Amino acid sequence: MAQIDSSYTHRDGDTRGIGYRRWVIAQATLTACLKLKGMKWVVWSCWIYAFLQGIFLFGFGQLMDPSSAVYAFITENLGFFKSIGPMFQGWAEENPRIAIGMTYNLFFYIFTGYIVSTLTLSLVALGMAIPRLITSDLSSRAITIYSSKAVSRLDYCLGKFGGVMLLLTITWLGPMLATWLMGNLMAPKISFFWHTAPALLHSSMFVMSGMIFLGLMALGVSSMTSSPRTATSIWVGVLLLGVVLSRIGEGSENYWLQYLSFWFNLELLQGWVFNISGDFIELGTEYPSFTDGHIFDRFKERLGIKKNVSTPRHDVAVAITCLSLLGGAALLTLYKKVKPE
Amino acid sequence: MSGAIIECSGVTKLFGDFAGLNNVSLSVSPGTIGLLGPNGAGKSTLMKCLLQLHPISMGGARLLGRDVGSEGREIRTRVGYAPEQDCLISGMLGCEYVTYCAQLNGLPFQEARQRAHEMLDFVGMGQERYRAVDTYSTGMKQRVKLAQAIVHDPELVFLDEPTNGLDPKGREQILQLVESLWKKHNISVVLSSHLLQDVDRICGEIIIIARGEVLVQDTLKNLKARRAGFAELVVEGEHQRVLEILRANECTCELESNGHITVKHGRESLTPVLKFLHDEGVRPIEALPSPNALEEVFLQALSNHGPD
Ligand SMILES: Nc1ncnc2c1ncn2[C@@H]1O[C@H](COP(=O)(O)OP(=O)(O)OP(=O)(O)O)[C@@H](O)[C@H]1O
Ligand SMILES: [Mg+2]
Repeated sequence: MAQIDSSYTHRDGDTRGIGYRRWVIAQATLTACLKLKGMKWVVWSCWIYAFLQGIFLFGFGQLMDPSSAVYAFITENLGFFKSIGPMFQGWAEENPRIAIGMTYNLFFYIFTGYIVSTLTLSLVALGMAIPRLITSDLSSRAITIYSSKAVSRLDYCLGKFGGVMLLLTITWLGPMLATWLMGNLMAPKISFFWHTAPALLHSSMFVMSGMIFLGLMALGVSSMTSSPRTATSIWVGVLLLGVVLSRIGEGSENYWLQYLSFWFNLELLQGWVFNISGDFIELGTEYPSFTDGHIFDRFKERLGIKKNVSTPRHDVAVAITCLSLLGGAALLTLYKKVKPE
Repeated sequence: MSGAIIECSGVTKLFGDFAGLNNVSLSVSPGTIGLLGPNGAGKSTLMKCLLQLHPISMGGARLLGRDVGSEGREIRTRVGYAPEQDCLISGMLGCEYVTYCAQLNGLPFQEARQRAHEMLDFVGMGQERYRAVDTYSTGMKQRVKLAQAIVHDPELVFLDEPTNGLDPKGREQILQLVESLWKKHNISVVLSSHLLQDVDRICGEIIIIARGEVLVQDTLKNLKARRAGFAELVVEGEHQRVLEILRANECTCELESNGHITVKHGRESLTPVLKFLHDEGVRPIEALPSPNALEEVFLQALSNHGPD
């Protein structure tokens, strides 16, 4: 140990407000999460995924531009596009809101919540982060230290929540925005920005509400136990339970079981926010011959969209209520568990 | 600062049916305050209640003139606390941890980092500060805990058994530091311990607490005065002769197994006793007025309070 140097000095600087202190907790939480082994890979994957989606959108944009080299290359090598290319181009001239706007909306519907997506990667990231969020503070009694500082339990929870939001911004919201920007910056016309704005709005709305919900769930799970393993297991259990419940409930008498699954509820919410079925209905009325094609039927089937029926408001209300209840349960767990010993 | 730094009126803390604190009323002025009591007395509970780590069940308390119930967060910007147990945030380096604690009290990052290093110097942490806190020894943890308690320059610090687990040299260093907090830097210290010597060395005021109740609150000087009629002498050889001289002068005395002589002389000060010994040609090697005063008061307070 070094020699004692009694260089104690008084300070006379300003003290920052409570907003700053909460921000400090959020930052520290994010830093701790990013330091985790493997987290770097997950984050990179999210951004690579976003980049690939951006490339895909670039390809789509090129389809609209007959003079582009990419278009020439594609039509030369893939005969299929020879027929569909000019159709798209004519369409984009005639009705860009549908040709560009709706297509983007569909793309982003898939990007933000399909089986393999940044959502899945974000769930993995959360699973990895959970032992670091509150669990480790419970086991190391760090809550006592937080509470003895100028932050309350509420400030602590807000800070932690902010940290999770930052993490999800990096793995989900950020990549989504990047994809959208990339697609539009490399699009043949500046008007793409305008036509694809609804897709951006829908994605942001869905992603942000999903972030808030998943963030709350992650914090709730993380505060349930002081053992890292148990916390991770609970998280995996919650995810699996969601899948199982929605599978069991699907098409059975006990269809209500589906509402206990947050997957199902999030899907409903997403379908409603993006209004994909509404898009299909509109498409069907404007171009009846087009949507009757079997390609679109298969699409709709794959996406689980009931034939030409909008997601009923009533279902969505139930879904939102169920999600709120789950979020409320997470908040209650936080309130019960985050206490100094 | 003037006025009381800690005021409690009828503070009671219930854990279920069990009263961890029972109707504690106190008024404490700035200084170094020693909180003494056997294990399970309620020392830690009192500190936690004052910092609002535990909600108070009944009664009210004020710290630095503010109500802890309603202004807890504001108060804590001016108060530091080093808990009894480990409470480090795993995965952080020592200096990061102290910086973070400073930021949690509202210090901007640059200043927080600078002060963190100053405080780590102050508590005698060397290069270990660049290691993860998870790897620290007990002594290092104690130092870091002390550093984080004072990093935001509080007016009052609560130190819960800060010398636990330290080697004699480390203990001495930490006690010196704690002493200097009040003597040099005017920071009031509330120090809990079950080690009487620690408290005896540095505290100006003593609060003895047992089974959730305050038994004694007084200055160390007054407590010693209560035992003014006692002394301990160390003489070379001739023990029997000294005992005889003392008894001839109306003193009760006894030879202890370690060769020291305890004397109950009943006088205001030890000077007359030394004088008549001197007249008889006896020169004690050492003469301690009111020896073990604190221990005696402590044991007496506990025994008055009934058996444990
Ligand atoms: N969270 C709790 N739940 C139930 N009982 C508690 C709790 N915290 C403390 N106690 C009880 O309150 C009493 C006082 O405990 P406290 O920790 O304040 O003692 P202490 O004086 O600090 O003892 P020590 O010297 O061992 O640290 C003990 O009997 C303890 O069992
Ligand atoms: Mg204790």
